[in-house]
Amino acid sequence: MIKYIIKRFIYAIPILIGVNLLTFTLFFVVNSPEEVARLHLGNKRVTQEQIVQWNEERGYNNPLFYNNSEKGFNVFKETIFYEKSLKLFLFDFGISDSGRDIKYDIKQRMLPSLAIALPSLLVGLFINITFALFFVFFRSTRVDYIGVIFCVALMSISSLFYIIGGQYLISKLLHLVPISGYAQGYEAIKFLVLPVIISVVYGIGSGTRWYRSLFLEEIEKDYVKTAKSKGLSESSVLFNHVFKNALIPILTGVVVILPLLFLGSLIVESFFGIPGLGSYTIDAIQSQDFAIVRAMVFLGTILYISGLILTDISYTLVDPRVRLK
Amino acid sequence: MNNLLTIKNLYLKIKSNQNEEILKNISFNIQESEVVSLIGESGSGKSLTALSIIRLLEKSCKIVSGEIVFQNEDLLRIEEKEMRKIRKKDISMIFQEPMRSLNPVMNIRDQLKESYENKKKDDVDREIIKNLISVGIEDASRVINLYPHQLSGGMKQRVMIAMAIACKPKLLIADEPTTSLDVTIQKQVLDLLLELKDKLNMAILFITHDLAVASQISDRIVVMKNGSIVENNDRSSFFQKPKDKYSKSLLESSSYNRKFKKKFSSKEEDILNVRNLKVYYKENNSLFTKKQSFIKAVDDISFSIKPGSIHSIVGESGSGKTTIAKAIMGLTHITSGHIKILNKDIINISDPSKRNLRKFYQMIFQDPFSSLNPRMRVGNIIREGLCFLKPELSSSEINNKVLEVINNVGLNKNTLNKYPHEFSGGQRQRIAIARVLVLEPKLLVCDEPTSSLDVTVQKQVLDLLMDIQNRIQISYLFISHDIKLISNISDTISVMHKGKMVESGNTFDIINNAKNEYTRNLLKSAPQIRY
Amino acid sequence: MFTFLLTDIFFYIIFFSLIIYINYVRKTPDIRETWSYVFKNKTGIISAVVLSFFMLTALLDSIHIKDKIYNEDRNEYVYSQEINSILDIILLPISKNTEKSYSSPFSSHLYSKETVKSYNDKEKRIYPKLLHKGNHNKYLDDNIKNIFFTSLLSILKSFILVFFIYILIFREDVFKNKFIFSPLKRNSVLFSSLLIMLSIILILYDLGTQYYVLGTDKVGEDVLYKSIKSIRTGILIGTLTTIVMLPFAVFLGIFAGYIGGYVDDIIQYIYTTLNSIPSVLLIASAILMLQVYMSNNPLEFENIYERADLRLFFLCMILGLTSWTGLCRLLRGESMKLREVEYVQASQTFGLKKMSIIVRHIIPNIMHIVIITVVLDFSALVLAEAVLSYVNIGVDPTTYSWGNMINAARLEMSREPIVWWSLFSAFLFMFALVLFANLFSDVVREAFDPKASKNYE
Repeated sequence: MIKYIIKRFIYAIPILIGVNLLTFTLFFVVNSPEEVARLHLGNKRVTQEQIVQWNEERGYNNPLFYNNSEKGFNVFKETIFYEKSLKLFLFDFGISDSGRDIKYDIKQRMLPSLAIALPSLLVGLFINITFALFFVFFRSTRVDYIGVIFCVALMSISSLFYIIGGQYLISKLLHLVPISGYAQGYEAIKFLVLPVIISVVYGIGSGTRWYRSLFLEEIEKDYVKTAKSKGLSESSVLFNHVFKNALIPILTGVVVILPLLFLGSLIVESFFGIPGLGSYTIDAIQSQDFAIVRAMVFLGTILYISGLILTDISYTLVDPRVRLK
Repeated sequence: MNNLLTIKNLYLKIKSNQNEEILKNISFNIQESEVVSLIGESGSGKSLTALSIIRLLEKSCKIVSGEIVFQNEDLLRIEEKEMRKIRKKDISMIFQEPMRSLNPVMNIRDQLKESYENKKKDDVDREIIKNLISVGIEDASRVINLYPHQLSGGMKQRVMIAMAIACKPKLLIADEPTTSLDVTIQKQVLDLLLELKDKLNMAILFITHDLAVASQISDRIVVMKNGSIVENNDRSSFFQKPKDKYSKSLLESSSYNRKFKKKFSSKEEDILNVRNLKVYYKENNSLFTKKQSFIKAVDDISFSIKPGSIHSIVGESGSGKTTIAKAIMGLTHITSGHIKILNKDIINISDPSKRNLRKFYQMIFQDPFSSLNPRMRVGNIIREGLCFLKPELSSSEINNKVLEVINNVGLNKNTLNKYPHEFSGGQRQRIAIARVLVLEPKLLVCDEPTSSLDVTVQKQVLDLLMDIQNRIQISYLFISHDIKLISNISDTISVMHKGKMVESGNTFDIINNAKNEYTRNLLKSAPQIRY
Repeated sequence: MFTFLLTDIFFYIIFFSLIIYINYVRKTPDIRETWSYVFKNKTGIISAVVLSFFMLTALLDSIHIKDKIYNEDRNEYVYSQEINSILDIILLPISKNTEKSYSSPFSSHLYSKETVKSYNDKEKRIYPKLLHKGNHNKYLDDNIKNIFFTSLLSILKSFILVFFIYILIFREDVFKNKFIFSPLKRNSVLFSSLLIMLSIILILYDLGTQYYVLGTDKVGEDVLYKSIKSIRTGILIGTLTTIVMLPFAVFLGIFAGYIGGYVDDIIQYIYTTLNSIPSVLLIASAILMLQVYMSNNPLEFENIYERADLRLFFLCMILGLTSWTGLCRLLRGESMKLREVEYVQASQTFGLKKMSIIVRHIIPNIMHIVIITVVLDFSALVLAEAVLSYVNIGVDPTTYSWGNMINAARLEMSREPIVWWSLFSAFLFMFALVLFANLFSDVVREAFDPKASKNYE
């Protein structure tokens, strides 16, 4: 087991290197640092000195891969690739283009992101599975048919409408909770309720349909017939047999996104002014702060890969058929 | 004896096709502790009849009329709750695929426990172990904690049986319970069922397509065809003097005899010569262990085939017989050994000269439903090999050959413009035969060519193959699990067991005085019709 | 003169491949049977009708024309910088005039008060009358009457139109056999959905020339026109993206699955790497870099239309490159399965080369997965466009798109009193497109993969 986990981590290294090279190419090769500086300083009437200075302040003044002016190992060390890309492997995210410590920001913003994402996931899971079981219980009846159509309709609405509509209805018309903002401690709850509700409602359509199809797939299997031939009731077949089997894909599907919850939701956070990593990313994108975007790409990749590893481990815990080698 | 179950005028429809009944006027009785076999080919409605009794039909099926009376109660008219009670107490069912019929994420104890209600945990455990021992699982206290995937096929079916008899039912419905098992295991399971029947005094409705199996176990035979019953007779009179024409043809088809044997000289050069063939597969080797372990699928096999003769390889599932076929055809890698076709080694040979040889040895696959590309017209399927292996032919020559071969396999030329899905299994297998026959091969490797077909169709395909062999100089390498069939058609036989060849020789010698223990066991287990 | 924007050309390619595919389906009985399942299903017919109207709009909006105008200075005809599509010309009666600012649907006045000088030089704050539409009648109830009768007329028109279409299609039945209504019974769903769609379109069009049916936006532009123009953007993103990624996904997936070995390792590495980056971040990074490149090289993109068009095209490319991994993995798995299937092995025993096995046996037998993925991805991509435009990494701000409309609506929603109709229109159009695309994809999936989906009876 431990062997397997170590092996998986080793397999993750080439992928991280690939992601690293890809982002490096995107951010430094497609456009030279000089061009980026020009964009930030405004296109017209920019002097060469200003550009050099801007790059120097942010450490973009070195060559990309190989520094002729240095000696020894420093020819590799004093380069953008080393400073900006390789250091990511040590979780050294550096400073943002606007001069802030990225690592500090990320630490500060992880918790608010999680405070929305985790409740949304759990509540959503509960509601979606309940609905799905309900539809499956009434499968191939009118209830199920209307339910599915309703789910498709819910799925067809852009998330933006849920947010704008929800904000308007609950905050502006009904004045139940503040429109946006955030506070520390228990005060945060009143700011969190609405975004969580909206995230859950948004997920109902696709989630319910997905779980419903998982259950239906199981219910067609032969062992269900065996269970019924034992004289078990419909509900005990559904819960003791079908549910137990469908739980495997459900659980592993949840585990794979668990680490990514730290990244938060981009639009929900920015609409509600939650100081999480999602709004951090959006702000960085909108102010074209590439240092932050780079850091987030790397962080996102690491979280995704650890999600995959966690999934494999959780398989062995819930599925007796799977043994890790 | 009393009637336990009476089915009267049962009609059943499928919702998507309202015009035609799938079951038509089904009526028969089962008496207490009687074994009734329901026999029929695929699609004859025998499984639907069984599922109607226990009321586990798919929602797309609808019973139109009729009654199923079980102990003075019409099962079709009682509440679902009452029906559940009956399933719990009086009627049990076991299914064809033990692998799929057990819940994969529950251990054996939990699955069996559901059949014992209202008892203390310790009592239940004791009951379960006793039950498992009674179906021949000796180390029951260990098995009880295992999951289905940790058991062999035969063991799983025993667990299924244990589950079914846990409530000591009055009627056990067994839907092809031995079809997916090897013959040796099949025999054990059948013996077990008979033993339990006597012990528990229960009736069995046994559904099968195999007449030999039915003759072994049943008191009465009910034959179904296209959703109706064509004959209902007691065993001995059925097998000695079947009343219905269809029953007769079933009986005739179930034991196949080669019409006449061609003489071949043993002096001629071998058409196929396999020497010390080994096919090993690597097991998942991890990064950290240097040791490599192998699965020996085929381990040091040698045999040869004379021109115009039929050689058969017989063995149970997992014995490596299909791997031999694949190795000969170049569909799997070979660890070591030699394979010579017409005295040319086809393993260490350049691609162009191998291509020249390929037309001489061809293969027919087991499943005619997956051996024809569903997106190609039949004409193109047959033409494919010709175009690649005989590029010297003009297109009119190719067309003539295709027309000739389609005629030879008993199909008409309209077939060529159609797609495979328009044909039945038997017709598809004819197309598959035409596809290779058009190349005029000297050796045909037939990997279970009839095992996925119904018995009457099996006979037709075998007739065709034998007929071809009588007309042209061709050798067959037959691969099968059915030693009874093999012994009737082949000149020489090799018996495989766990990747090794345990015995090889003349058909007569092997059948009548087998030296190897395993061969004898195989022969003994193969079901014979008991008249 | 016709001009061709980059996305136009790709859109034509999509359209022609669609026609070729339809032709292929008509010739191949078993695929025809599968598709006929879709078009026998009620939901399938209705959504196909709705979607084809959307497609038609997008197509009309993709045929662009440059006008010749007379340049007095140089005394010659030159092509104007302005590019119009056929759709623009059709919609000219709706779009030609603009108001000063916001006005609500069917309103006859502006939405906000303005200070005007009346005849005696006194300043008054009133709601000014609209300049171009909505003022045909003095009184409100007359307006309602007008709307009612205009709509009635439009419905009548569409009845006549549908009747002619019906006669045209079933001319043989109608004239030879004299059974005028027997084909109608068989195709009742098709013709009633056609009738409803045509009625809606004609009502919108006829009313659109007289009223601002969905109001006007901040600069007084007709919101209905904006919403219709956004259809092309949505459809392009939904289709072009999948077309861009298809070759990658299909070939790499098949090579990985069928050939295996090192090829498989490399391809798997590529798509796992791409897949590991959260897609929003990857898209954001790529688009940001494109923005830098475009703003640093302004000379290469002279024309404002071409510039916006290029950005749309690149957006599709980037979305395609990030979304091919899913299909690639599916196809890899399927090819691996097919490698072991007996008909592929049978061809191997004929000594066919790997490439010919792929072309003859593998590709035809994975097409159903490709089709399911294409229709399934479509609606997700239309929805993604809105979100990306909201984050400013979507289409160019000058391009008509629902995402841009929603983006603008954010401020309108916080006005007092609120301006709701832009958001509402974007919602309406997007919802219609995505809903029917979803319903259609359900039916298609059911037809091509009966085991996998059991959503409807």
